Amino acid sequence: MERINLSAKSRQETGKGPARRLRNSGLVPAVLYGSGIKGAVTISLNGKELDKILHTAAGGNVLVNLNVEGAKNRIVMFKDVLRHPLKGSIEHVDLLEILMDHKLTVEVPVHIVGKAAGLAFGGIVSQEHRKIRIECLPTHIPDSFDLDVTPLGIGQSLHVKDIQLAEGLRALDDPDMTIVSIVAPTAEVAPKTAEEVEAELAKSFEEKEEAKKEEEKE
Amino acid sequence: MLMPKKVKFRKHQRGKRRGLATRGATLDFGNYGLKATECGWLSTREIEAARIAMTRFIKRGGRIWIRVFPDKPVTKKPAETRMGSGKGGPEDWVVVIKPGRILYEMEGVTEAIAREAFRLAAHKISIPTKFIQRESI
Repeated sequence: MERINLSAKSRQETGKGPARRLRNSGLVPAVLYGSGIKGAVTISLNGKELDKILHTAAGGNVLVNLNVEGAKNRIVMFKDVLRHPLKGSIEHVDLLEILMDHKLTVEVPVHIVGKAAGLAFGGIVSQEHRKIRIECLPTHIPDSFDLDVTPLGIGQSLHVKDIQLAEGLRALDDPDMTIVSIVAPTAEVAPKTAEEVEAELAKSFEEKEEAKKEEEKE
Repeated sequence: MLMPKKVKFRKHQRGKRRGLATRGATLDFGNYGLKATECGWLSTREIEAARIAMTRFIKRGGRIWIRVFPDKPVTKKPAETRMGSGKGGPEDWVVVIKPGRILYEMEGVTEAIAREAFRLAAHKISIPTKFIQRESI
């Protein structure tokens, strides 16, 4: 489990105006909370440092030694990262203080390894879930899980129960939840044109009329 | 073509398109996606034309998700009609797109194929778009 140092400054001003000014100066507004903190503490982080931390192999699942100016060091994790919908830049971060002896729930990414046997027959690897929820101590959080799909043919899948979990880890998701499956390719169906729909309706109407006439004759 | 099965009101007001997309702005299904960079209305014909362009290019490999649904009716007055006498009849269905909205997603193909398929699809769409991909593939 990686542990990274991050420095922060406390901020007094809140709201969209001060937050925008912070972002323009290369900082990211953030909030810190947890069981050891009364309420929430508003802080600001360095945008470049933050971007580096969030691009580690573990994604956002890293323990951070947060050093807020004028306060004691805290061990925190990223609870939520808000990104700009168009630019993708980090807009705001939620940090959660964690206690090292308390179990916590985290989402760990699942990576697919190998080339599935079903691909030779035209199958497509469809990853239904990219993360699974696990419960563990902060020091035991894995970077990711590797799932080998080599033996999978078309129509076969791997589930949460197929992931080998180390000691001290417990999966919180349904054991039968599908992670990856090899699906058969779907043939393209040409959409019906308005004329085709009208012709079908007319045909069905004629058939009904004929059936009515036959009934009347009988 | 995509359209609602039934609606509560046949004719809608046009509305505004200000702001950014707050929902449907992240990749949820596939590894690659097509993101709108400006706002506009996307009609059911455009959605279908872009889908056909993509599926023809990727042939039988890969999967495509359409992340938008046209549920807003657009009315139009008949040609050479004098103004007045009420609102025209429903002509088309559109979806209101705001910047940042994901229109399509794709999986099961290489990046080069996905890029080309989305380039072809973008030519069928009246809104400027950009190609995006998942950070950790």
